[in-house]
Amino acid sequence: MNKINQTFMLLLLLSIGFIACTSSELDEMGALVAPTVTEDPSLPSIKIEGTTLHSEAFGNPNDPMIVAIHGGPGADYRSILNFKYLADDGYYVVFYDQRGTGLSQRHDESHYEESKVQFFIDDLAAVIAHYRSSAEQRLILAGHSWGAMLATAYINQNPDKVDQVILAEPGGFTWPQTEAYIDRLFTLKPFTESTNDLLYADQFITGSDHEVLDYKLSLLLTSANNTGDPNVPFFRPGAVLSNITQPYAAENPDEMDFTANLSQYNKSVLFAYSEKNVHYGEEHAKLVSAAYPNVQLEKINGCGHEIINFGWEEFYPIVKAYLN
Amino acid sequence: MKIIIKIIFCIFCGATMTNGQSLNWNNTDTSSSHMTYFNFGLDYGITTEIGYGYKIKKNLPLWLQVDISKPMGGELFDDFKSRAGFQLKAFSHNNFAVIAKMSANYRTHSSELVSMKSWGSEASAAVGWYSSKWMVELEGGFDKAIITQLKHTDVYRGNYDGVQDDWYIPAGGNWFYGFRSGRTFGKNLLVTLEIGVTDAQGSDRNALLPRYLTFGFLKPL
Repeated sequence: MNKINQTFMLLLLLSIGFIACTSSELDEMGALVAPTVTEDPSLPSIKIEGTTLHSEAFGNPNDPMIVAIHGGPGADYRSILNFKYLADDGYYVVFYDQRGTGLSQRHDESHYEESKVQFFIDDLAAVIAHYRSSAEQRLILAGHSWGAMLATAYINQNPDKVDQVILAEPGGFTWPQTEAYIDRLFTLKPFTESTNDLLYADQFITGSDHEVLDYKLSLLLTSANNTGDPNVPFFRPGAVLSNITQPYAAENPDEMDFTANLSQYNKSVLFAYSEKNVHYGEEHAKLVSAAYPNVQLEKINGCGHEIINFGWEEFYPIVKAYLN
Repeated sequence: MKIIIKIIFCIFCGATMTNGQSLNWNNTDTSSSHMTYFNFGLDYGITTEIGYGYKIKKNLPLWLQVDISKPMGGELFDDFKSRAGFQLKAFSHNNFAVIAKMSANYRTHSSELVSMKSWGSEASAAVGWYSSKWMVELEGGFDKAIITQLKHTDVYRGNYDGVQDDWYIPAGGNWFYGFRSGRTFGKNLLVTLEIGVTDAQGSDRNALLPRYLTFGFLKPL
């Protein structure tokens, strides 16, 4: 039994070693995910409202301004970069990664305690203010998915400030609409390889650092992609931001209702939905877009949810005609 | 003293360290020196496991075990987990017993973004009541991914070319807490049902399904 006891003690010490050992390898800057603006000062950025956002603009600053708003929450603007080609058509096109995601500065969960929805709208207002060259400069919002919801949330609070708006497959403008879409989107098929890819990796890597959490989310997003497109390009997802928003929305559905003042927005709205995202479709597009009085509803063929990235060839002439 | 060392070990395992196959220590223990087992259920995917156990000495309450498990999916050998370890009855009184389990594991996983290989260890402690027909157990433990190798595909590199393919130490871990009950049918066929939760080390909340639910079948040979 002495040998057994010695073995116990050895295993005990080894176990303590396993638990106690720490390493900075997984959270080493740049090892798994791209550095943010706070880690790589060479990235284009702007400072607003107590944070630093990854942001850049294309075109003549005095031209009508298009603010491109990415999806998520927790994604980034890499997948909507095709909007920058509108700079060649006489528009000043602004991109920014939302607070806490993409290559923007990271914040811990406590940073979002006071506001979990309104700060998105405030940040959008701050970005507009940062880039706007005059009060007379025309303002166009171009949002994709969650970005289209955010554009609508901004219009709902500022119906007189936006001249035109392009919306690509917003999940919904009320929480029940969004929730129904999410439910259709994330139905797990338990015996498939893709579900396996979603679940199995959780036992290989865990962590508390933004680098690890963002890395795991990037694996998850690609495995969970079932909206009719190939792999979606991204800079770096924001896991903490992503983790706090959906549960909060589910618990506070009133804050996710962006429709109260939309009836005051009588200008034409370009509302696009895709051919291949079977979870969205014409029925949902009509349901969601009905909150606006004046809608130009367009189906974009040959792509799924990532209309800006994979459907640009068909979408661009429609956008150009709408803007003109 | 020996008992104390065993108890400390069990408490430590319970406090610090996925769950090994259980025995009914009131009959499996004495019936044979060999056993096989089969588990099926939800455990980081829909997973199937087969295993073999060997008892070194008749009156030593210690089983050596090896097993391999694999989740469902279209590709046969891209994901699996194998373990080698032991479990022992550290303390018993009437039908109650404290069981300690420890194993080393190797697991692998591939997706279109990355392939992962990981060496790790698991340790747990269970407190249970065992009769000749029925058993119930409460188990807590820790599944440590000690070292994980990540090799990324061109798909991932298309998004971030600076990613480093390397071994990462330590790679993380998951606590687990579960309840298991079982009944012995006929000649020592033990059928178990186990439910539990997992909790990632640190503030990681990305585990999509932090639950496990498995059915098990164990037969001494």
